Amino acid sequence: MQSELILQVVVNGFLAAGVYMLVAVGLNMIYGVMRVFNYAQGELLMLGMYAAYWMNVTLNLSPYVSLPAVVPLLFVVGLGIQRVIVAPLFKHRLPPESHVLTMIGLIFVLQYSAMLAWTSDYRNVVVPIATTSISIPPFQVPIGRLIASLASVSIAVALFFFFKYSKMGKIIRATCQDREAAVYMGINIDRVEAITFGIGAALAGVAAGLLLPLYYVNPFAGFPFTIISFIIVTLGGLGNFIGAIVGSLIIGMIESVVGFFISAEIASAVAFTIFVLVLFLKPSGLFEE
Amino acid sequence: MFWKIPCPRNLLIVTVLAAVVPILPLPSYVFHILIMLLFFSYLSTAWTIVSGYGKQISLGHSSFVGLGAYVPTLLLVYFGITPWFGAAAGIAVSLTVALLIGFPAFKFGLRGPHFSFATMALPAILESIFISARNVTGGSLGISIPYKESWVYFQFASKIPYYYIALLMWFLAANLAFSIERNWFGYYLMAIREDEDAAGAVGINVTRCKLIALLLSVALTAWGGVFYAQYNLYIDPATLFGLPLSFQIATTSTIGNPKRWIGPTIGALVLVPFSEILRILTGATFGSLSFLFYGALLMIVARFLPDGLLGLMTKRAK
Amino acid sequence: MALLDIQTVTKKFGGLSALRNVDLKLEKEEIVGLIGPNGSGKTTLINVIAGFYKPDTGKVFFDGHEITGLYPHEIAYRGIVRTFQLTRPFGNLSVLENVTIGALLKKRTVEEAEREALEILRSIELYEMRNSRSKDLTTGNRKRLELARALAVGPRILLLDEVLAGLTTSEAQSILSLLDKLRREHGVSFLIVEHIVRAIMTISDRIAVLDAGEKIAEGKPDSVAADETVRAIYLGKELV
Repeated sequence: MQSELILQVVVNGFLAAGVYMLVAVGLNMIYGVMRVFNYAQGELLMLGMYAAYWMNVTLNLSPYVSLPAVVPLLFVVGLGIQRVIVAPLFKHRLPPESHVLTMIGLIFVLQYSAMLAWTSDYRNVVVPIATTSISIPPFQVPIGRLIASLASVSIAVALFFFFKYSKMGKIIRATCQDREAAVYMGINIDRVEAITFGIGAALAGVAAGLLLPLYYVNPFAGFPFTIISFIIVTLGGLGNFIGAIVGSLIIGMIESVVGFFISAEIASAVAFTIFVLVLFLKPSGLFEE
Repeated sequence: MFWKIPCPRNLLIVTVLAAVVPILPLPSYVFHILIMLLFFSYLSTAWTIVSGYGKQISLGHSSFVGLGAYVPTLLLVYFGITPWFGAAAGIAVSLTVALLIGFPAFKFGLRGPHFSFATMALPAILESIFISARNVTGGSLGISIPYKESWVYFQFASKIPYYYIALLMWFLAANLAFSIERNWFGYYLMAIREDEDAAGAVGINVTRCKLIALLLSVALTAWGGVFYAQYNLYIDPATLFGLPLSFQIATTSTIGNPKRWIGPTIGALVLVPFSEILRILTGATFGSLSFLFYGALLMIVARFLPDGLLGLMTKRAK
Repeated sequence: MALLDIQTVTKKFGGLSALRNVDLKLEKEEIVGLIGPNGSGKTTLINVIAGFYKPDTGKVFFDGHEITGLYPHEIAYRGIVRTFQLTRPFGNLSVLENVTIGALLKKRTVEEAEREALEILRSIELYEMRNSRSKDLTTGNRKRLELARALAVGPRILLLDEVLAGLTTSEAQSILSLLDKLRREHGVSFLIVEHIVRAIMTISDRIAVLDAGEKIAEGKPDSVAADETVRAIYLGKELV
């Protein structure tokens, strides 16, 4: 009985990891190419969730079904943010403090605009499938989480191949590794940056569709995901794709195991403490790119 | 060491004028706004010593406000110790925590965004701890400070004494910042801000300077927490340990000009009355409109005004 | 006993040996020139002496006391001050502020430090530019600022890393006479890394030559100039 419980907890850990993975990978990409921390990644997730919510309310579409609309929408939003807000920071050679402060300002603006538009009420969408659990003895697996994790993993795999084999993927990787060299090679950095940000936002959009059946949304629902993503990305190594995946697993496990045996709050405290330790001891992350 | 420099005449004039204000028959909420104004100016000035002058941008200063608020309060609730003494404990705890994070951070050369990350983690950890220990701290419901109505317990029936205390706090903090700007410590911080390696090459002990700045900043901030607890008479983890408060402090200073002693005060002058009035007029929902304003202003300042609003004002004056 | 004694210093970066068993002594009031092709380890040696790198093997002694592995600021405090090859002024600060910061190591108040700074600026002919923002300076003036700031710290030994590069002949000349004056009147010793070999030959008491991390020659300027191995690494260029 004890071992079943432990296994269940472990499985929950995997599922939690799957949920965080997408947001973390998106954040990672953006940092890798632009050397900018998208502190507002969670807010993009939040916007995506609202988009899916409203599509559900007005058009009666399940969040899974509205993905093909939400994802491109967020891609465009990401593009817009990059062009209008982020790119000028680099063009005018503003110091790194300006980047941090601009992104923090963006967080406020997005959160409170959402609050103005949609109030701080918690909203959710009931998708019956998502909340039922399958029994795969000896585990109980909530289907919603299972779908989210499977989707995350598939997308992660797809991204892996994208980066390795597709032209755009290779261009993005090259820019990640050596920005100046990329410029000399004739790569249109502006376009690459915009597209990367767009993809990062799109990933948040996918996560939004997958998470809405599982979580309530309100203007501040995105922020915790930003924090968790940062922890994951720091653990795994900034810009390191595999690292983000492994980091997600680690954090998912901690959340599940510590959350179960002690408490959810202590689980966050543990995650943060590990985060701080990694920052001190190996700021480049557990893995080197 | 820091007080040899005579205080700036403007500061003195403003303080004297402000001291006279309570003579006027102003309604209580006006004093509330003024107190909040002074309070946030104070907190932001304390922040700017390490994050503006020293450029170690801390996004976790709310930790110390929280510790300064909770420790004396717990001592009061459980042991009946007056906050005047409890404050010492609150400040001591804050300094210890700051050292625990700051010393390894500076020694291992955590700079820039990495340092800011690490500072963000602190309030979150503390918030979790204080919520978890609900038997002791009342969890997320917070603690109401027991009503004593005596100056011995740092409580006053009217807002006026709080006003004068806040005024004194602000005056001292601003004076300290002003002195630092003009003495060797301020110059060294400027050097560190510009180029840490070059600073080392001319004999500056960078780690030590950063630590001094941090400890000064934290001590002041923790006292701010003590004041807040005694003024508000209610504390809870989300407000005090939350990241929004940290961001607010950082934003206020940055908007004004984080590198000058008067910058944070100017930032507060712009932000605080606006948000307080908004809140009083329209209630909580639209009161948070002020955060929207904060965010937009922050983005504008970060992008166009590297010297903050103060920079804008002085440029116009030229 | 030598003022500065560098003993069998080795420094590797990964597989690359930047310095290999380098020995070098600097006597009081001596000017030693350090030359060699690009990548021969000259700047690395300066970094080791000044505490920016810790050597893998070997020791550095200053006035009889070991200083290997001390932090840069500690070494600066003891009196060894270095300049940077690519100048590193405190960019947004004025020329005067830059030098004042240097002076603050030994003077406790800003007023005293500023007075000292102004004097140094006068002697180095940067007085007119004292309120200019240092990142706006020309290369020549930046080099002079770099030197001025180092001087303000009150060094007994100055480690100069290519301080003449980018200067016009007359500017270089005035720097050289200033260095000479510092040596004669204030007893400062110099270890000068230079590419402009002609200049360094005239001012140095001794020359040391590094190639691929090893010291391949040392001695009076004339004998080093005549040395076959040295000529070879410079590919037959005229040295004097």
